[in-house]
Amino acid sequence: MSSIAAYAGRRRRVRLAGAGDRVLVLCALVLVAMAIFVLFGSLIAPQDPNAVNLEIALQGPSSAHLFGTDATGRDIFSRVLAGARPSILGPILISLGATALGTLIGVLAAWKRGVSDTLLSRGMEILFAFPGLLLAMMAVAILGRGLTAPVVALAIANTPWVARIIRSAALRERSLPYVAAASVQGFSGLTICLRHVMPNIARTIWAQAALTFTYGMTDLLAINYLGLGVQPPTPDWGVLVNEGQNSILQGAPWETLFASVFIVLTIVSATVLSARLGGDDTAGIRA
Amino acid sequence: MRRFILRRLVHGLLAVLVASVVIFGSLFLAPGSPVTALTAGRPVSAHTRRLLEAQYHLNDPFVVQYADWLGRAVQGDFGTSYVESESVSAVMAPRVDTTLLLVCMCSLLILGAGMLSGAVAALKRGFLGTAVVFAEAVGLGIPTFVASLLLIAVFSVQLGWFPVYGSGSGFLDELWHLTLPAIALALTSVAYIGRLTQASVEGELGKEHVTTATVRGLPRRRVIRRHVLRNAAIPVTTAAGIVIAYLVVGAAVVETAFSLNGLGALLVSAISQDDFPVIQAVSLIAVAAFVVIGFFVDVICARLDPRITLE
Repeated sequence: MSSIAAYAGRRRRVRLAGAGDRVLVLCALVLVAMAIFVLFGSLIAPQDPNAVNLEIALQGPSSAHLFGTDATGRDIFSRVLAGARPSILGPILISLGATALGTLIGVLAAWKRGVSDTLLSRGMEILFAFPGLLLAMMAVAILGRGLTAPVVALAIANTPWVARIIRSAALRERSLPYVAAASVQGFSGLTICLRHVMPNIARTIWAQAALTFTYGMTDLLAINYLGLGVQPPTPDWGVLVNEGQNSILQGAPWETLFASVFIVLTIVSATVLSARLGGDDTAGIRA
Repeated sequence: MRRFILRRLVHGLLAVLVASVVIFGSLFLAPGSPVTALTAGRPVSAHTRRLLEAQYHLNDPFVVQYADWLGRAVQGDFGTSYVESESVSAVMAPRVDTTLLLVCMCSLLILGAGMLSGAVAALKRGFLGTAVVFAEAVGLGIPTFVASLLLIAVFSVQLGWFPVYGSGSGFLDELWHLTLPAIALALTSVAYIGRLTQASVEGELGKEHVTTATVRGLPRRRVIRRHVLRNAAIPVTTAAGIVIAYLVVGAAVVETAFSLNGLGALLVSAISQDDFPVIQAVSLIAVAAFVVIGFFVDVICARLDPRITLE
């Protein structure tokens, strides 16, 4: 019997993010700081992020250069701060696009059922076969480098994942008595969806938005790292990681290191936030 | 079971077919003429242009070009590279090994380390379980390209344990060269599969049939193996299949970071040089890999839980 109790107790155990609300507050603080960098990064930056000075190339962190300098003597701290905008706005756009489209498709499929549901899920199945990164690279091949092509492609690539979660949430909601009650009172399907179903699954939608942000960021920065997206000298974090690669071999990993720290902090914070919003932290994890 | 397999096969073939239309069609629609890529942007006479267009069948209607391309692709002929002026298969051939080995090493890591760590985190309490949960959280948040460079910085440059670049020669040397890339590529997926396994096992532990088995007096070991792990394996197998199928594309990032001569790095360089036949070939292989692995995953899941064949 004791083992049954042990099993039961184990399920309640606090998970990772779990370390309590302090972690959540910390993550929220990180995201607020990132938001400030997005808005005012270039203003806060102590130096011109693009000012070259070869005499001070590849220096380590010091009081003059908090994060050191890169191979052409640019101040890494200033570049990382200025890079917040391109690095974070792109993923936000991806998240907005995928969440809006995915919610629309998910709710529609759950509400209509029948043929449209089947058609949607078949179409989505095809889309699943294209990893986000591949779709983004194909978009770059077609439309050329820059932010537009990969952002649009990644928004589309993330849509089926969002749609799948929203559809099952909406299906659950639909079977509840209040929907039938509203229907009997003569409310239209549209009204019920907009006024009742959507607000009730809002948490799931927000959790998906936060999660899509992290996946969008991972893939978009990878595209930028590969040199297929945002072009230098824009100090995007993916570009910074790439630019720092040669300096690593010369014993100065600062540029890659500090850009990586900002990337990982942002992604982890958004993931924890998403897990807290969604309740089940594995529900929506994508490949 | 046979009907189930047949239906899945048809589904898979249809998916590859539709995907091939998407891949060929989208690049067909790309603005700019392939002739520009073929001549590397140099101005050419009308005669040369006509010759090139004839050689690469650029003036045929879309359907003809597509059917022609697909017919050859099925036989392993993906046309001629715009950049290398060699057949695409010849360009890809020496690179397949590296990517295949990388993907295999990654898959082993994902299945072994991922499932093991997840099961440990779910079944063992105390320090070990907590450590695994923490490691997974960190792993999930580190993008592949960041992991690659951090591994290079620490293990290649600082400690000097592994080579910085290149694929090496000879099997053992290759394994050694591919160790860091494989870890970098597998990291997120190991963490993800670990998390999923843990959640899945924990979910199964709380089910009534497990309680019943325990109450019936079955040894814990047997309950875990027959009732918990077998059921928990189904969602994990599905997810692991997707993760592994996506590795071919993810390899693009690590192969670039570690300067490996693989298909992924080929894809990246083909995109920056507008080498459309190569882009089409690698994309099609990546999507086909997804469909093939998806098929096997479905069959494995059907064996684990025969009810699946009834849907």
